[in-house]
Amino acid sequence: MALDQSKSNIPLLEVTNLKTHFPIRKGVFSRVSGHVYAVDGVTISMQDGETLGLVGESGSGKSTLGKSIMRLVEPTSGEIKISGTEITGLNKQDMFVHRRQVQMVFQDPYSSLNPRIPVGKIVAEALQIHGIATGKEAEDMVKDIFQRVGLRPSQMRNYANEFSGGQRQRIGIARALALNPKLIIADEPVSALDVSVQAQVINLFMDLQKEYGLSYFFIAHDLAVVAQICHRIAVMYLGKIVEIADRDELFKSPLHPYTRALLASIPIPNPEIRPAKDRVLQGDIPSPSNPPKGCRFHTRCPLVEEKCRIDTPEFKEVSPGHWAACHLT
Amino acid sequence: MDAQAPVLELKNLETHFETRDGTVRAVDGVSYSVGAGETLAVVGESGCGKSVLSLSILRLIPNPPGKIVGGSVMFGGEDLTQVSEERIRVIRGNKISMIFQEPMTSLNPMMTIGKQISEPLTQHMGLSKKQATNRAQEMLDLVQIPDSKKWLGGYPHEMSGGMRQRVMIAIALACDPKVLIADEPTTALDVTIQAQILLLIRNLQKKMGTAVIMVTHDLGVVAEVADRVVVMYAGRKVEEANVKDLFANPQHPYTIGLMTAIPRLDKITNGDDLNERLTEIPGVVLPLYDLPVGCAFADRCSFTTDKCRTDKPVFEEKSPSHWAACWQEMSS
Repeated sequence: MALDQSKSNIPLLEVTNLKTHFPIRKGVFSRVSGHVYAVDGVTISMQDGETLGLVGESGSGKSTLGKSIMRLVEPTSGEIKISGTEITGLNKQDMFVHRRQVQMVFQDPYSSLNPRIPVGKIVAEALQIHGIATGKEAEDMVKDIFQRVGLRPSQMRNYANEFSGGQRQRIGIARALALNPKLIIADEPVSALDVSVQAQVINLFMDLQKEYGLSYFFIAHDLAVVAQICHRIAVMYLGKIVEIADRDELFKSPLHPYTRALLASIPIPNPEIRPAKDRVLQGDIPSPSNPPKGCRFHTRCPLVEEKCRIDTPEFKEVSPGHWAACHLT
Repeated sequence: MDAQAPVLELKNLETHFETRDGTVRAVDGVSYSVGAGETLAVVGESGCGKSVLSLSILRLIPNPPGKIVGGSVMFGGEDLTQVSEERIRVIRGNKISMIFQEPMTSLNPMMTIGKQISEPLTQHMGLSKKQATNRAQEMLDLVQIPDSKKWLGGYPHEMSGGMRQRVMIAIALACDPKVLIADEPTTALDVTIQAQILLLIRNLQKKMGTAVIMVTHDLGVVAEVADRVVVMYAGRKVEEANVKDLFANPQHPYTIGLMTAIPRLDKITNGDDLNERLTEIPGVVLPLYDLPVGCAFADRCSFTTDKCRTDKPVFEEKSPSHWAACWQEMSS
């Protein structure tokens, strides 16, 4: 469980004050009339071999954060360092090389695989594009990867529509693994799957980590899934990280009222403990184009005080490794 | 609850679809009943037939290719599979209402919220326009939409997902139905909003005495809202029990599999170490047009014997009011 922090002083991933804003354009001249502050000042770091979970509701900016780290969307400002290399300024060719280190697995295994190409070729393509292997050599490598993710090599000739959801997600994982990355950004990789299949894919993620020392940046809305697989967990709300801590610490002593509300909202599969009525959080998540002043959670916070409406709380280390942004902690 | 006569009773319902690959037995002889004020959860994974089952109750199955080929749906002394098209239209949305997973696609984007709630009231209950509008506002208040008066003239796209689902509930309950069928009503919502909607459904049910059929894949939701549970697999009912019995002492290997396959948050608070492998249910659901003669779960089950492959298990009472379709005896 405990990670060897001494292995290297350079974090695998280091994100500093990252902002990704999307302009809202209006009218005939497409004038910028405002911004969606999807990611608004995020600082996180990850060690080699670690799984960092990122949880939050829809609209919290968690997917945009994942895509920003891949530079699939261009960040507005801030720094992203992979193994010490700053990547926000890299040109296309340099970025291309960097992408081999960081790969992504997507939520929807139905729309992220080309239906007209045999799945073996989808994976082989990654090897060809990056000049790792071609022809027979690539085929052999794909065969090997297929076996590693629990697919039969004979299935390489089949098309995506011939596979079930869980198998498609295995193909998505095979594609990400092909380049032998250090870090895999997994954006809701099991949320489209049925529970029995979800367990298979979660186990696969954990097995592959053990085998290859992979690191995962695991984005999900389901806290139970995140708890199963992650070493540390970050909670995101309206573009900002509000709390980050080791898994057990976060569940045992959550500090931010939003984290507490999230934990209390999850239905527990045990009818003997039916939830208290007062756990329900009022209202919806506000629009990220016009986030509330002060603490962004103040419109829904049960403990709100005057200060929360005016001042933005500082993100501070409350106990070793446990950070939270709340005036009341 | 048990002493009451059931409000809705399904007997051996069978819904089949004719496809190129053969006859899909989406619902293969399912029976259940639900009483006033009771919540029955129907659980299963995609493709188990739980949605087709709910749609069959209100005869909302497109025909062709689908058809109710057997069984009955008894409601208020009538068999809904036999009544006329006009009659079923009177019952739909009036006596038995339904809410769906995706509130955006179930609402009409071109029609104001107020109109969508009041329309069934003028049609089903014969209210005047003015009365119906008043009732619509009352319903919006009841489902706790702030500024209900303003929202009467609003459109669905202006609302958040949680608000839309509240509107769906308002529409569904406006005619004071006897039965509410909720098909994955919170699956598309965030957990904090899910908690709001589940609480709302429970409170309204208490107030109005509605029988609720909660169709879901989420065992957490089941544990939270259900009185009784029906577990479905491959179009068949594999287990039925009171919610506490089901969780304490599951009798079907599939139910046991479901329960051990989900990551459990409650374990962390107990100090158990997670990060260990989950128990998998191997394989996938078989295509419903090609089910084996014996138990449909036999290929994925770790208790399978030869009998499971040749004989379809009988749905029998394993302990008082706890039924399961399995040849094996599960120890408790």
